[in-house]
Amino acid sequence: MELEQKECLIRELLANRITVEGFHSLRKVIDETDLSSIIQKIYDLNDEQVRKIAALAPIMAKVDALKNAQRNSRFKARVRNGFRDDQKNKVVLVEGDSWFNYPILLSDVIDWVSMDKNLAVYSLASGGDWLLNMLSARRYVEQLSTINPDVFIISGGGNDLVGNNRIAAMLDANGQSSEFFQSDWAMHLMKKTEARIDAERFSAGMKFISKDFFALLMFFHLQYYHIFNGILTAGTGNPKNSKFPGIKIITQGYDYAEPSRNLGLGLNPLKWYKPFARMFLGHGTWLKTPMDIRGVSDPDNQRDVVYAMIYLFNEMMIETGEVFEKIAGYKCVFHVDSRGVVGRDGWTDELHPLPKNFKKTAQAFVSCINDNNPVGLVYDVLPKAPYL
Amino acid sequence: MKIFFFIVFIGLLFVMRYQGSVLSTSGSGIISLELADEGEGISIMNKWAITKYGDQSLLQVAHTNTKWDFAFILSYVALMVALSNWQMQREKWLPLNEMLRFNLFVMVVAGMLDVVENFRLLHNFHHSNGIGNYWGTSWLATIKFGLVGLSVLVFVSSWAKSLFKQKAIQ
Repeated sequence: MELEQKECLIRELLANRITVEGFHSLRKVIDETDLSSIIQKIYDLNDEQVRKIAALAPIMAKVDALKNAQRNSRFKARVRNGFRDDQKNKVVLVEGDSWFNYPILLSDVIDWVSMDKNLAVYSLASGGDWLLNMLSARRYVEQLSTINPDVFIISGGGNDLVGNNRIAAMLDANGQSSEFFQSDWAMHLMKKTEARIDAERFSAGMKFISKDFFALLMFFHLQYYHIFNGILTAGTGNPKNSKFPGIKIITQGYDYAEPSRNLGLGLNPLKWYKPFARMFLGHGTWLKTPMDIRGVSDPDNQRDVVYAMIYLFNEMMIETGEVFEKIAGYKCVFHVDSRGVVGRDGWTDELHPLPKNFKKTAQAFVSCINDNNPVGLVYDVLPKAPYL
Repeated sequence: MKIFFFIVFIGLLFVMRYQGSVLSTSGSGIISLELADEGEGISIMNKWAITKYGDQSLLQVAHTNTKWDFAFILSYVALMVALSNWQMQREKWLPLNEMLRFNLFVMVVAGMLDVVENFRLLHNFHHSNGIGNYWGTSWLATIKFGLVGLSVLVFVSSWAKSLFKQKAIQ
């Protein structure tokens, strides 16, 4: 592809006017420099500013590292004495955000996954981490080579969307947006969706979403494509070149989070951590406040916006799996679909489910990891129940 | 981290035990004072005030012991929080997992009660003769010991359960 043609497609992507075919062509030729240039334009920041806002707070990084150190010493203890000789046992490498590493207070998804006796889990996850950081730091690359895991699990994108009030920039306060209908790719995703949907909420939410969200969604897809292409084809597009043949990759796409500033006070002393997390750990600042700042202040509209965003984010992840099934010729990128699991009252704070709900998602991960004959690419946490 | 907390805890426990044994030579230790009512408390302190240990009275030893107790509180709270958090990552049964999380809160509350209790004890040491100036600590100590007991029970139950399970697998 000519440089000029690539630049034209990037411009179309940023304007949310790119066709599905154009996007697929762009995906094949995109490199890290292009990704960096795209995100700078989506965020209206230069490279240094992007890295600055995406950087983890030092205290957060230390607490995350402490939890990972505990997990990884357990990993080392587990892989001793011929652990990998038994076919039933699996080694798992984890990269991700607070759904995979929520220090001290909560038992997150990976805490529950790690409790499975057949799994040895090595974690690089950091609460608050951005997908952007994961891609640029490439810590998983080093560990992939060292550990040669059976399974690679990744969770990322949530903080890129809600960190530093970014979600405000993805909104159109007038509620008249038709950008969804302009996004050929998002329409393409929705045409083939098999997940349960509340069409009314989805449409209501879409009216408040600006073109920047669709550009970011496509950017997420390109980032994941770049990561998985590196793992599954060594960046060549040919699975024969993979250094990790047979590796299983599993993604997740969060649940319909609840924009709120409610302190969650209650009489159950066992839920003491809910008001604690809500008072001291950022509750309200990720979704509710940026939406209020932008002028989308009706609680129902706020919930609908999150519903539509999370719905499309999950569809984007599922599409990524389908793309790699075609490239690799076998099912290799799976998705754990948690949509609708947590409900309105199942949250510790705006973004993080209660431990019991993290456990439900973890169970789907464990099923996916241990499934040697997968039928599909998607593992529903909430199978066949209608969304309420 | 938990090993570090454990070493600090054991070191401070040794200091506390030693000072406690010195106080017990009078027939009443620091725990007896913590749980005593006003009359009993004043009687214990009076006994300590007139009993010599080297060149100082037992009341001064109790005073020193109470100051050391602030560090001891920090160590046992940190240790139990670290252990409960460590065990939370192993406890699959949700109710017990939630109880281990509850331990984090319980231990911080127990530690805070112990701090308040120590301030009240220090006040009492300065008013060991004055009936009417005595600040009771028995209710604080009872709640504190109850909370610590609950916390230890939860941790030990979960830990024993995982040890038993591990043995069964092997």
